[in-house]
Amino acid sequence: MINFDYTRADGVTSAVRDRASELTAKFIAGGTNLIDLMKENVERPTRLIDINRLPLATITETEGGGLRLGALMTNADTAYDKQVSKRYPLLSQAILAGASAQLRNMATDGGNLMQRTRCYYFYDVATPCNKREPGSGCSAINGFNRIHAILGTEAGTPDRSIHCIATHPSDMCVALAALEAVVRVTGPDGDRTIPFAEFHRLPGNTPHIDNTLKDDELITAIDLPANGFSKNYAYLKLRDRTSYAFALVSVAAALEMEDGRITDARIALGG
Amino acid sequence: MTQYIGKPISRVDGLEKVTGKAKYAAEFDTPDLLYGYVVNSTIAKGKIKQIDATKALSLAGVIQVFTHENRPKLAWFDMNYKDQDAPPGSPFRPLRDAKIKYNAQPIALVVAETFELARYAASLVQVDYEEEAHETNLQANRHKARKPSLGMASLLKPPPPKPRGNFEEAFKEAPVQMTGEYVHSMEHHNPMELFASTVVYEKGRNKSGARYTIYDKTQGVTNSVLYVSQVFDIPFKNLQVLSPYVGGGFGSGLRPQYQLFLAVMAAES
Ligand SMILES: Cc1cc2nc3c(=O)[nH]c(=O)nc-3n(C[C@H](O)[C@H](O)[C@H](O)COP(=O)(O)OP(=O)(O)OC[C@H]3O[C@@H](n4cnc5c(N)ncnc54)[C@H](O)[C@@H]3O)c2cc1C
Ligand code: SF4
Repeated sequence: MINFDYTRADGVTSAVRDRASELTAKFIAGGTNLIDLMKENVERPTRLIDINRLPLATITETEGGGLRLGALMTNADTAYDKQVSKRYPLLSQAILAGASAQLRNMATDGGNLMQRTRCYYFYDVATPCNKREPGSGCSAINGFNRIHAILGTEAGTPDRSIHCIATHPSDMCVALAALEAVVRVTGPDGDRTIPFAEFHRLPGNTPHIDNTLKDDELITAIDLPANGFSKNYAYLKLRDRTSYAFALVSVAAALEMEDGRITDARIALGG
Repeated sequence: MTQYIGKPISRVDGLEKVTGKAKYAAEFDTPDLLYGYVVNSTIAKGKIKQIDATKALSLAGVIQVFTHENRPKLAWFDMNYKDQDAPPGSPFRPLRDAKIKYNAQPIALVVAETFELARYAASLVQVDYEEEAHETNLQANRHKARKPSLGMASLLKPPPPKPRGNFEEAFKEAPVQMTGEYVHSMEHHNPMELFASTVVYEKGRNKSGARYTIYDKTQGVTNSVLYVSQVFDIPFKNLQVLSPYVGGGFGSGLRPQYQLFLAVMAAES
């Protein structure tokens, strides 16, 4: 870990301004992923902007009849929230399939979207990795890659060569994709929204860019549409150990049924 | 026994362990304690051509970087590095020479005033390797396996019990026979207590009078005493190894690990 400066942000505007003026800085929320990566010298922020005091730890109703999850809601409080577990049980189930109780108590919803891959080589600075050091090569393609991606590895690469086979490891995100959530972000130029399917990107030939959030933007909330598919849903996570392990593959499925006929279906795949 | 079977019984040290009150080897703070961080090799086989610790040493608060080049002179014979549970073959000797025998082999120890500083300084140690081709797939190389000479190991270790019955015969006559090859998944030791050793060194009137109180992550303190005594030529009476709570081990704590060697070496220097 290298030395870094530390600022505690007192508002969304100042947090975004601080980040825009120092792009090598990073926001820190629960710290469950960022601190690990800093210890391994994978992330080397020059400054941590602590966003934990921002008023983003709330769940509110949206005008469209859905729910707005503040970016600083913890994974645990989200999963066990009365409204969420009743109206969006798929989301609760997916969150509770991840990590451990202690981690879910610290991890935030914004941080969950932004967590980085669990590819072993990404964590090991002694090995080449295109995601960590663009252009250095991918150790996983001919290495240990049991936990790596089946889907989306070459799509989006104009020359069809494969630069990275890492997955995004989140369980929560697979459910959010099925529910067609919307990510709300704030940048120096104001607010915008990103449909969930457009938030994470395929590696293509720029695997170091995980998502479409700009460097100086902050996630403020995640909007869940009114329909939570609370009647027919399932989150399935397959892994080598049934607890405290990341998914090898996962499925979030939700159906809307009328008189025994499927009227709407959502399937999101992880892995 | 029957009074316990089928009933939930608390471990004697259970409460201390789950509430974090049990102190593990890395948690014995003493005045002026220095912290070590290990630099591990990043190749599996070869040689260290050059190891440059200049940058690490230039940081205020970094005390020393030990490598095979500047380590103190130690016991000469392999025998001294055998412990009570050592497998047959030549024992691993940390910082012995420039040879790399396995990936993540400890090749240097950075000693500094804080753990974080030691860790950062360790990332600045530059190592130049001469790499050799390596084989890391045990399964694919099984045909090259050979029986190592037993040597000292057979003397220190009690022999296994004599076999009972006659497997071959019983199997031949068994009404049902099944033969198969089973491969199980990777299993790792993941004890709660991290591998660590804290060495409290008290100067004596002369070298042979120095006292060592060692908190070691071990399942067998006597084995650690034996090892330290043999390698560093310290009389038993000047050595005490303590492990008041074993924070799990599954066997990974049976043998002295390299951090014990490195911590004693650094404390002595
Ligand atoms: C041992 C272990 C096991 C785990 N197992 C699982 C699992 O099975 N399934 C699973 O889904 N997850 C798992 N996780 C991951 C965990 O869910 C994430 O680490 C966590 O959600 C990250 O949230 P955080 O608030 O701690 O983020 P931090 O570590 O604080 O930050 C992570 C990243 O997000 C950025 N960030 C944080 N908040 C914002 C924001 N509001 N706007 C913009 N950027 C932001 C930070 O700058 C940083 O880059 C596991 C983690 C660990 C350590
Ligand atoms: S799969 Fe991606 S993250 Fe893993 S080594 Fe290859 S480039 Fe790096």
